Amino acid sequence: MEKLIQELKQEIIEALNLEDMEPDDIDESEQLFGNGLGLDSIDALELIVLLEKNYGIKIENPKDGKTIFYSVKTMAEYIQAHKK
Amino acid sequence: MTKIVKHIFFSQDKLFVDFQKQFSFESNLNFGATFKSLYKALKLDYPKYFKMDSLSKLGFLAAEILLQDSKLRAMHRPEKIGIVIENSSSTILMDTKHQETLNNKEAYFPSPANFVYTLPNILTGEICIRHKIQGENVMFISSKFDAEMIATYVEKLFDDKKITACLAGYIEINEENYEAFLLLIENSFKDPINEKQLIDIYSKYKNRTNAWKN
Repeated sequence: MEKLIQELKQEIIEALNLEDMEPDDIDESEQLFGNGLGLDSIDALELIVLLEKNYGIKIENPKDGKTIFYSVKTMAEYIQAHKK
Repeated sequence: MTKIVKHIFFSQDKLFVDFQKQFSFESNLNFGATFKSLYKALKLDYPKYFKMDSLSKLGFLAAEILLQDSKLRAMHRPEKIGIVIENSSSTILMDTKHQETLNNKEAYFPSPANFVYTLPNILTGEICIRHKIQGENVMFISSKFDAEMIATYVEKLFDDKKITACLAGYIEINEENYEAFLLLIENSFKDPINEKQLIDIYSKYKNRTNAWKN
């Protein structure tokens, strides 16, 4: 899980162009949206694309997004449970 | 008389403010590296900048320079400040990049972040968000800098009392070059904006850039 979390942090930095940010700057339990990294709705769409592109995971129910994308940790847990 | 408060010109690695050279960058850098150097030189802290396409980055930086130390927001209500910008190539660089992802049928993952920058008026939107500008803003596509169009449109907005100040100019970027010419104009409610003024200022900058080439 730790390896996946580190990979995911790097992928998020690249996908969202979080310039000057290193994986260690992201707290895996911190909120991605709102106060945390301050991501916006377009970033949410990019994360959906990231899941599909890198892990082959499609989110069928949009309502699940809030839980899945709460933090890097929740994303990693979802990937681990659903990775194809 | 309508007052041109300040103007900036940024092209070919050199940035001028009111005809005075403010920055000069290494000519061997690509556009992105040059813009990043300017961003750092201005000591900006605006993470969203890095998500913008090159057209928006260029316009954003031009507006930063233009409004540096400006009393714009102290002197004009947000809804009375407008933006009138032109360019020639619209968002061709991002359009091409986005099209490439659409063409890849085997790995079909178009980027939403790229898609939003395939509309040129997002440039005016980025400037509005940054500087809390709420007046009319418009982006025209023109084959070259059209001073008559700018003068006519800005004057109409002044005349209709829709705005009292305006950021106006030409923000162009394509594969070969970039050019940002941006002016801050205020209305004095007496004389109309003079098209010739705009042409004179622009020509003076262009003559300088042509001299660099030769």
